[in-house]
Amino acid sequence: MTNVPDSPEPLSSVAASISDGALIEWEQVAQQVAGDDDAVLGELRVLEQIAKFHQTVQEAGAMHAATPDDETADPRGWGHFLILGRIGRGSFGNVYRAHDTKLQSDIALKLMREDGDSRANVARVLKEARLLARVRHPNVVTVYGADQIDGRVGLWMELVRGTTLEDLLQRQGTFGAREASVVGLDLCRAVASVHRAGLIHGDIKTHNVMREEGGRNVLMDFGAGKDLDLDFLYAYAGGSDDFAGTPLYVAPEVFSGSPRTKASDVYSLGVLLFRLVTKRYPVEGQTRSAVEDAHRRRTRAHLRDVRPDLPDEFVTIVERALDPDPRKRFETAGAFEIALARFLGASPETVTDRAAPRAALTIALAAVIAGIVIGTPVYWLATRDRVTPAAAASAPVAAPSGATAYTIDASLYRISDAREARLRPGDRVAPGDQLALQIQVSKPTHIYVVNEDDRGESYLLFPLPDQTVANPIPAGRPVRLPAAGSNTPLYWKVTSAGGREHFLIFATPEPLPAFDRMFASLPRPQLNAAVLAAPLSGDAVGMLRGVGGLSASPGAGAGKLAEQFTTPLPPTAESANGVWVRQITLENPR
Amino acid sequence: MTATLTFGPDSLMAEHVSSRAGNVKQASPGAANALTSVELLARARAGDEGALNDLCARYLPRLQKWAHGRLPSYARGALDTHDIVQDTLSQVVQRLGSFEPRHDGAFQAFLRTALLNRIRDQIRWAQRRPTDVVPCVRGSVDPSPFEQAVGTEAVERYEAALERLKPPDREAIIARIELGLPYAEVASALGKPTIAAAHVAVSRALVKLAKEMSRDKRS
Repeated sequence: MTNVPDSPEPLSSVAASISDGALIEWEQVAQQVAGDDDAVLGELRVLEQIAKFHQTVQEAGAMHAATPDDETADPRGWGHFLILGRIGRGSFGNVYRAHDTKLQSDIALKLMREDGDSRANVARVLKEARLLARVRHPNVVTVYGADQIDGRVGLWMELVRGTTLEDLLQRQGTFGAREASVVGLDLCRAVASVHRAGLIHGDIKTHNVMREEGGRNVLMDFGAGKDLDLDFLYAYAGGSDDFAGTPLYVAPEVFSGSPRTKASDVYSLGVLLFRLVTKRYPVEGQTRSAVEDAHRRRTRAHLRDVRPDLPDEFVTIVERALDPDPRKRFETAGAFEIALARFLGASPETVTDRAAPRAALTIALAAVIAGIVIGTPVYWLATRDRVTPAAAASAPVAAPSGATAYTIDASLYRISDAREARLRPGDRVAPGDQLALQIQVSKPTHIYVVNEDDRGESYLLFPLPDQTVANPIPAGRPVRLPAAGSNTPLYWKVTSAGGREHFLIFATPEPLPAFDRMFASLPRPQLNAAVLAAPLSGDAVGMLRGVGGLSASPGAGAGKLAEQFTTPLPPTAESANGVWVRQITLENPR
Repeated sequence: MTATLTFGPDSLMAEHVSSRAGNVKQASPGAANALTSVELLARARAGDEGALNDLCARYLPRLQKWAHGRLPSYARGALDTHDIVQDTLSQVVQRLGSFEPRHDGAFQAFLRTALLNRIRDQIRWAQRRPTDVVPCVRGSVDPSPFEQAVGTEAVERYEAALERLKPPDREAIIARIELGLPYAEVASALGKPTIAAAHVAVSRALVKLAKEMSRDKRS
């Protein structure tokens, strides 16, 4: 046996190219090798032939025509993208996870079938890319570019890691009204931004929404409705997934020949919410004509009949979106959003005003001297000088009436030198980063901050002993956590890379002794001492779910916190009643 | 035509392995998804027909194409490649005995050996059998598509060298070069934590294989 611990560079590089199916300049490489390596290079050339033969055999339509189901037809690369695996299949092509070798990042690559009408494909894909490029919104997938390479058309976009809402529904069962409304809020914002760009989405459905790890809901795929005619429906008379799924979301007036409008997107959003809480559709049918017929006969399921347990306000909102008369629906996605926000107890102004400058960004920066460490949890003493405080915080958002109602504005920041940047779900952190949470509440509130990793190991970040701030935190001014301890302000420091870090923030204006007892059971970082993280008990997680009122799948208690509480930390202040739970997940890759 | 795509869960969700001090547990790529072949195999051996069907569904298309390249046309006869592969797969499952593959890559390599033996039997059987359907001279060795493409001598050198490689290297070659699995699946099959690790494993195995082949040529 020959051991090759350190193959000479040209040979390794040639081998990598063989494995990737990339072009090799044999003559050029031959000039770089000598002696025994020459013979090895000769055999690598044979191996290239062998690899090519197998690739041809696996991809060849000549021997066995590759069917849409046959993933062996997947290419190994396209342009400067290295294909890493298939993540989706469509009627006209596939979607791959791919690596952009120029930018060194992973993206989603949508490639058209080679056998299609190439001119039509080019036009369609480029059109889709242009449409998508007009929309920039955190809840809409971002497209980066489109091209035709080696005769094959593709477009590449943001790689969203997560699960479709349909998958979640199948796996976890029906959603509660509150969780569905939180999803609805995100999607109303997404659709509003699509409408603002002068587009109609036309294919809103649970299959087309990804729930990203970290909780962000992302509206995908503009491939279909966009041409605003019904031709595509007739094209699916054979009963493919598209046919089965799409007509069930189509507004009745569209069946009657009316063009797709903002109101028909609102209807589809209503169907999506109806489906999330019932796992059914308001108007059902096995075929397109059966659905159309049901609309004509006004045969439909009413949410109140299917889910008598849901709150009246939520039922009214969904039913309004589903009104057969488009004029009686919410006029815009924004109006739909406000209704959902009201139901959730949030002030619509703060929820909808996404573009408002955030006062939190100019809030006085606390001096950072010592850090609690994430990754390798050991207290870390820094030598940073005090930073000059910046401008004061904005006025707190007015709390709505009600004894337990309060507002909470929380943001997680990365602090480096004198600068700080607000972190959004999915942002990357790296070893050396210093993090702090800033919270402002309208009434004294008990706050608990838990850090959890991918394995469900958690530990408590707040409250900790020996800090200048303890529960309940004071109202009316921004409070930095972790808070200073005896002139030694703290922050959380990332010390090692790998995986993801989930931050869960719990708030309650009323003291809850059970919360204190439960969180007291979690390990806490200690100055100059290592701490081992431990998962919360199943009972504790179950209790949290009950208190938070955001349970996604009633029944199951145990599990990771980040999977139980998926509502993302919002970018603006929120009104809340009782216990408020939000999470933010940060990528911490190697 | 519509252009709707359904995104599934990413099979490489566990690509990044967390390294928090005090508890290091490696997650394997794809572990969160469907059962591994090793798990399916255990179920199939316990008599679970669904598991056997799932295994067939997983390997048949690739192995069928692989076998097609190895079988000379005269040896195909009435028994088509599909039957040969399916038959071999179910026999492998039944006769595995105490073989416990470490991961999917080991199972793939095992399956490939069984299939190659079966194809060699088929070729011998075809050569012994006088036939008027295929005008071949007894004892003639019409090359397989693989031999036609690469050359009989090179194929022999390749097979012999492949046989001498350490199992992990052999499995890397089979998974990526012969079966053409995407790197994500290669990583899963070889128990590698990342795509990059799978990529390196295949490249290194190729260099080792080339060295083995060149040794044969010199001797």
